[in-house]
Amino acid sequence: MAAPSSLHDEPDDELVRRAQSGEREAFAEIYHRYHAVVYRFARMMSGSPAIGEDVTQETFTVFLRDLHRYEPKCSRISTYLYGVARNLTRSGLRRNRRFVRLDVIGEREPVANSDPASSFERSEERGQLRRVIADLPSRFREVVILCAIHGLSYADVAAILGTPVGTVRSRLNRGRRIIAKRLREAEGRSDAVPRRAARCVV
Amino acid sequence: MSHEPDALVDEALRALAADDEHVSVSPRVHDAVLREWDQQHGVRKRRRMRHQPSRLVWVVVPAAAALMLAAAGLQRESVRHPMPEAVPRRNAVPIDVPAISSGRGPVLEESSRHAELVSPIAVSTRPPAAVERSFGYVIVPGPLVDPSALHVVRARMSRAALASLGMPIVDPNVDGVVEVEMLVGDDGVAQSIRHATLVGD
Repeated sequence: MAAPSSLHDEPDDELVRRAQSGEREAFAEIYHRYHAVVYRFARMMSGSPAIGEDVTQETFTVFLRDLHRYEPKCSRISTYLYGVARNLTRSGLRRNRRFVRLDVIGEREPVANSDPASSFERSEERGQLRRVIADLPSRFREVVILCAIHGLSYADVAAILGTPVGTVRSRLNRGRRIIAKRLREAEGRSDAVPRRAARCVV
Repeated sequence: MSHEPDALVDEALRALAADDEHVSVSPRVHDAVLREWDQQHGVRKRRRMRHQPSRLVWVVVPAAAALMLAAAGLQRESVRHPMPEAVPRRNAVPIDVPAISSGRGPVLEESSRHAELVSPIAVSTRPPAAVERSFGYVIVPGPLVDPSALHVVRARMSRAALASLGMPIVDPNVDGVVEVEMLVGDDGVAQSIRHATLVGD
């Protein structure tokens, strides 16, 4: 749903103020601006599109509940929403720890390309990377997602996580090294299976 | 450790980020969030309305207070000056109060019996026969009081107030004051009503 065009150019603070005064369209515009990043973050953190959607819904429900207390001067909306989504994802994952995930995001994604074989290969690589990220310890996973995937600055990530900037930087480096190592391990395993040969057979 | 693996990882992460830009949330989430907004704002409005005192309170409470004051005042007045025979007003219109003799249900029967027990009261100049014929609608909240402790009190009240006392009024929402005579016990509680006439302005 698109909010009225007059709201598109409004700054976040003004949208919050209008939403606080009961303007539904202002709240819808806030949702429109931030739902995608919240969903992408929760989806990659949990490795599950279903959990991602649940967390997105809950995050905005929490924001709605606390809207009258929210002070834009204290933190930016994005920082607040990332923080809520992070807590909800972590608690959701803790709750679901005993369950085996069936919808982990490793599924092949269709990529428009003239060469179906290379598309397939790229899709496989992305799926592999998603799985490796989903298996990272959460303290490294969240930093990698926020910094490397969402492109946030160290300072922003530090504000979201409530940790010093130095910690963010060290966790990111450590997370990258773990990813590189696991990708190499996965590559070694897949080399045992002759992928190119399989492609020829197909 | 060489920087090549890091560069490869960064490149893979960038490619993943580019792919990730295209994922979209189901419209179901959007609908659920805005439904939550509607629900919360609807609840807040309802809660605000619930905290406001009902308008009926502003009508019923003063009407009841006025009725009690009028009853007490008239009682004192009638003790000092015995009430003359009621003369119908020129514009007085009878309203639809059921006849006592119709005997609707046990309460009315009880009230009829009670009315027969009521002796002419010192403060009233009405003949006993008229009293026996007309009184009848009982609003007694407890056991009937001793008939010798009853007093006739005349009062005016709105049709709505009369209806709230349990009198079957045809249209209680119509404006107008009703003049009634009541049997009031020593405790000030009205026991019976009779002779209800609509008084025009």
